[in-house]
Amino acid sequence: MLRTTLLSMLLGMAGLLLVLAVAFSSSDGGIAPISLDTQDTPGDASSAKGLQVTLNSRGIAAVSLPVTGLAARDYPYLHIGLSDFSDKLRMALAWEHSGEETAQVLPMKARPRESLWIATHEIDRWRLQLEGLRLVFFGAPGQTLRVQDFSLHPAGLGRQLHAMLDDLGSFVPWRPGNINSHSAVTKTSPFYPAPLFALLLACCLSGFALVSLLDYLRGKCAAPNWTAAGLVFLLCWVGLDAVWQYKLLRQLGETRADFAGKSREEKLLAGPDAELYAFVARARALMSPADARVFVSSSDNYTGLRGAYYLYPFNAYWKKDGHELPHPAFLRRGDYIMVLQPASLRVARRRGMAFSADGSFPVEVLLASQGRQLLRVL
Amino acid sequence: METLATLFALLLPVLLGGLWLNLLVPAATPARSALVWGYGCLTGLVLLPLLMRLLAHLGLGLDFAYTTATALALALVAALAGLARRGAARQAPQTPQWRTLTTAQRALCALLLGLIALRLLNLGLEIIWRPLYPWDATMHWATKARVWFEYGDMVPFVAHDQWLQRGGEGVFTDRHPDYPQTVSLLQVWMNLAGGHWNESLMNLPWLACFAGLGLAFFGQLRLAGAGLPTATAFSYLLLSLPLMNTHVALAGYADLFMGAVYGGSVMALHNWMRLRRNWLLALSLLLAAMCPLVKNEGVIWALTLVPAFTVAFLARRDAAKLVLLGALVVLLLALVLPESTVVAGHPLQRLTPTFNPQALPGLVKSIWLHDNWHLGGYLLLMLVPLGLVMPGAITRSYLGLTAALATAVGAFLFLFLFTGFGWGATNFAAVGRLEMHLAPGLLFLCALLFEDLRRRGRILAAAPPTGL
Repeated sequence: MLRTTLLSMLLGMAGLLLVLAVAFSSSDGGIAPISLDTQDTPGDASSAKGLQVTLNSRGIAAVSLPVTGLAARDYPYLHIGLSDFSDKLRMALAWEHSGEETAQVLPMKARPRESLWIATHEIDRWRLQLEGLRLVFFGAPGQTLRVQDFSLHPAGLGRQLHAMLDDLGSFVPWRPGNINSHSAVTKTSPFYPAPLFALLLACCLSGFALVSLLDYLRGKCAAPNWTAAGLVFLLCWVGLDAVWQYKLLRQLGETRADFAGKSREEKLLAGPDAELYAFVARARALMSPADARVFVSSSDNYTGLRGAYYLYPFNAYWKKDGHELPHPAFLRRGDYIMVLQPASLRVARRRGMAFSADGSFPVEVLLASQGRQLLRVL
Repeated sequence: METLATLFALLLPVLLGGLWLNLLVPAATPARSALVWGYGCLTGLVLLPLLMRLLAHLGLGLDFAYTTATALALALVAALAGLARRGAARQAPQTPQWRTLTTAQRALCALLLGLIALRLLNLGLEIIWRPLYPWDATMHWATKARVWFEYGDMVPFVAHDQWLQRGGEGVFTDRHPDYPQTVSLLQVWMNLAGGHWNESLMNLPWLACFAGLGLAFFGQLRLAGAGLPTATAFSYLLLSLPLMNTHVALAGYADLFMGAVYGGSVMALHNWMRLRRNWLLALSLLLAAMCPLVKNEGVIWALTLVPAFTVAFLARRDAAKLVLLGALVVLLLALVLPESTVVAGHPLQRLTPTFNPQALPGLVKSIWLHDNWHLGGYLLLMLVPLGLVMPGAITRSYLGLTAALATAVGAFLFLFLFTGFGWGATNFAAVGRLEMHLAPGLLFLCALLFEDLRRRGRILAAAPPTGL
């Protein structure tokens, strides 16, 4: 059984490579890669290699590839090489199409890594003629990093395999939508992992069928060894699951760095709702009694629902879809309104009035900070 | 101190459920421990909130001491009854099948158990460190938990318009005030134990549910006759499903519990149809009754057992006629009843059939393109057709299980392809979570089909080879 399994796996992996080679072995047509010159960094006295980049006071920096009128289809792969970078670094690609002024921006959701191959042919806006390709970095002001490579490459099997492997090994932190679906891809992913491993499985099972047939013809067995087939399936599953387990462990590392050892308050002030929670915490201290009614006005569903959640056990009212606030006739003196932008409620602070879709009513502004307000109905 | 309190709070429902299941499951049952503690965990996690509701209804509020005392008393009764039974009946010692495995099989099982353990640890630490994260958890599950914990009672939640009419006096509101209370009460329970609101530790029941599901699944497979390596392997497949793992790590939704309870019911149903042991029927019915306590659509999932019982008691032809008649009655009711009639938490108006072809690509992608289920969708594609051609497999051996799951899949497809809920497949907002309700049952069927295939292959292989 082990022999059958091993042979099936080997034949399957060879078969998969053959399929990929047939699918992606297109000639580069003599097109040469285009690379950024990373040798000289003005004012950089260190012996470290690569172009040193420093984020400005807004925490942004960019390096540009000198491209003009570049045919996008000639360069379906891009390589980024980095060193000495922070885990919190974020990147985006930006470019223009020839004759257009609007910049195309593609935020890269995956965490940065030392070497990254990207299948640009998967980007739906990577087309026509390109101008001014830039790699933009976001992070803390003054943060530095080194760009070892920023280059465009023509088609080739090796590059496709690199892009696939890099994509499988890339890591994107949890997003709210993950609770509904795990696509396992980003906008630059060259392949969905599940069908890729299903293709591997199909090749391995084909190998299994071949081995079983040969064994049958040689009189070694009267029927396929389904246990071996099951083992083949299990090994393919374990391979795909190894990718998932790796991502879970990377995520755990981030979770630990962000939240481990912190109190509930500290976790919320370190999490994705930090600013919102900080505002709500300040607002709660100004509200009484404990069962006071608080209306949440926001046209952004996420902000509204999170704001309402952090307000409980105050008697919070937030309605998804429809009017942000009920008719003013339902409001009472002493009610609170938390305005979380974007919101349709308009507040004239000096006049002491608030204006909703259904009318106006007198209010007092108790707290205002970065587009968020706490009002009390008068 | 908080750690001890948390552990106690987590173990009490498991103990409560496990000790009562210990009375239900006969002594000489294969994989007895896995069945007792797996199902014990699942039932305990639903029964404890039910107990809390009863105590609140009796005017005792949501109180840690009362709940603990009542639960411990019930556990003690079960423990004493169990001891009395154990004294009366001696079971014959069983040779663990582990010793009959080859070295390679043991290595495989050890590897898979190691992977499962790593997954449990990984997900457990995510729960412990991460504050409440996902959307619906903060929109209508933990909202109730937060208020009930602070007030020490189950303050009513009403719809927005009712809240406005009543001026918010004595009532609260959120997006879905009518959702079942089980999951929210579990969170209250965990916070009562700790004595303060902790929105990380309150999600540990999700890890317990996940582990309980794995044990129950393993136990039912062993009871169904699957070998130790097969049962271990399929349990690993179940516990490594990415979307299921995500629902543990980003705890707060009820879908994991829904899948566990419904899956546990259909698995017990299958083995009851095979073995005709009353305790399995009781277990299946108990978990089916629990389905509506977890999510509103649990009513629908519970009703999918009706076709299964029909084929269990009637000849296939008569059963088919009855099921068809039942479907016609359902259709008639849908046409006759007022549109405002609520079915599984939704007005009938929203369930009026309207073909949504645009939902089909989303459905297909979520199963076979996205990595929600690893290779699970492909496994179904391989094994179900094989099961149809294996003589007597789907049509006899697994008829009941297939009837239940086919009805469930039919309801699932109807919901997304023929009602206003098609958006849930188009934007992937709901389709994956409903697939999770069916995943344990479908994977159980796959495991049975695979084991059947293996068995038939071994019989054929035992015949003298002819060769050329």
